[in-house]
Amino acid sequence: MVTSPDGFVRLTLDDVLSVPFKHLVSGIDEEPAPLPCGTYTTISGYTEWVSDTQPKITVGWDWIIAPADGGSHWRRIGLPRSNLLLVDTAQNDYAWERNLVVLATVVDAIPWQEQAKTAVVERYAA
Amino acid sequence: MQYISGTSTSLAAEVLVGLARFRHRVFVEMLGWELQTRDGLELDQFDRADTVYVAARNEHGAVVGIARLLPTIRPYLLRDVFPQLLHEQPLPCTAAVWELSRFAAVDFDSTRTTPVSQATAQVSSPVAVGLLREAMRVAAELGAQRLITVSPLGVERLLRKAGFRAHRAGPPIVVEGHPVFACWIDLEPQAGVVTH
Repeated sequence: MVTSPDGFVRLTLDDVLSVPFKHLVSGIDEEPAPLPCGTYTTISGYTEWVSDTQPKITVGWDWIIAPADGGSHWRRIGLPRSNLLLVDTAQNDYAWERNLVVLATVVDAIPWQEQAKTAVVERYAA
Repeated sequence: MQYISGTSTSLAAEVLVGLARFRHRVFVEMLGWELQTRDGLELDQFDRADTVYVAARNEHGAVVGIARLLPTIRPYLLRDVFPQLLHEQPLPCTAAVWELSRFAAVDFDSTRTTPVSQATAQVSSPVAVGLLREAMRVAAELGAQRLITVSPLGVERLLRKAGFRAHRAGPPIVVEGHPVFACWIDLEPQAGVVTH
């Protein structure tokens, strides 16, 4: 695994699926988007995860606490941000948008909600 | 909006002073960065004879945006102050890569009563997109194919929202409570990667 001269770490999807990611930092948006009157107040933020590999793979995404079944749950919004560029088995780059869409399915498979929640609570409770 | 660019030898002295004063207002007074200052001016060791400045001025001639371009073949912020952001990757040292730093676009007349975040203050004013495009144009004229920059994490989100193709060079690091990262900004489309 190497970093290409253009700054990307190129991996196949199978390779990425075998990479464990650990939580790095999470935070709440300082300036949430203004909401119309009568709508739910929302809390949104970001979470950052990193691999233990060398070079490190970094991936971050935005989240929102959404109402669900009388309670709430944390869910990803938007596409991830990363230094990872997926390649196919012939080592051809994914198109940028497809890269991000597929990467989103990878991060959705990470059980990130509890760790992000714990990190946010610890960070902002101080 | 008027854009100007040049070096300390090509720009008029009063313009350079205005840029340094604007930087002081943004980075020291508004964002609270601990930077070396003198007489209300913010200048550092990277403000040299070969440093290229790009600035935006409003219809009244007031500075509303600033960008600083440094060639990576000479000392630059990422290499000398934040090399850890590349996480042991080789630091760029080529005429094809320039560093964008001290980027900010703030219209103080319109933001005077509105608190803004670090990232927002730097890149979300109406001037920011135009200024960044101008900085990219100037950098390309100087031979740059890509820019690299040290930025607060929120800048990445705003760059994407504004339609720029940028990606991180490594994981963010928390500096003085704020996650910062090194960010690549492409000036030319690359094979296999679609610009959005």
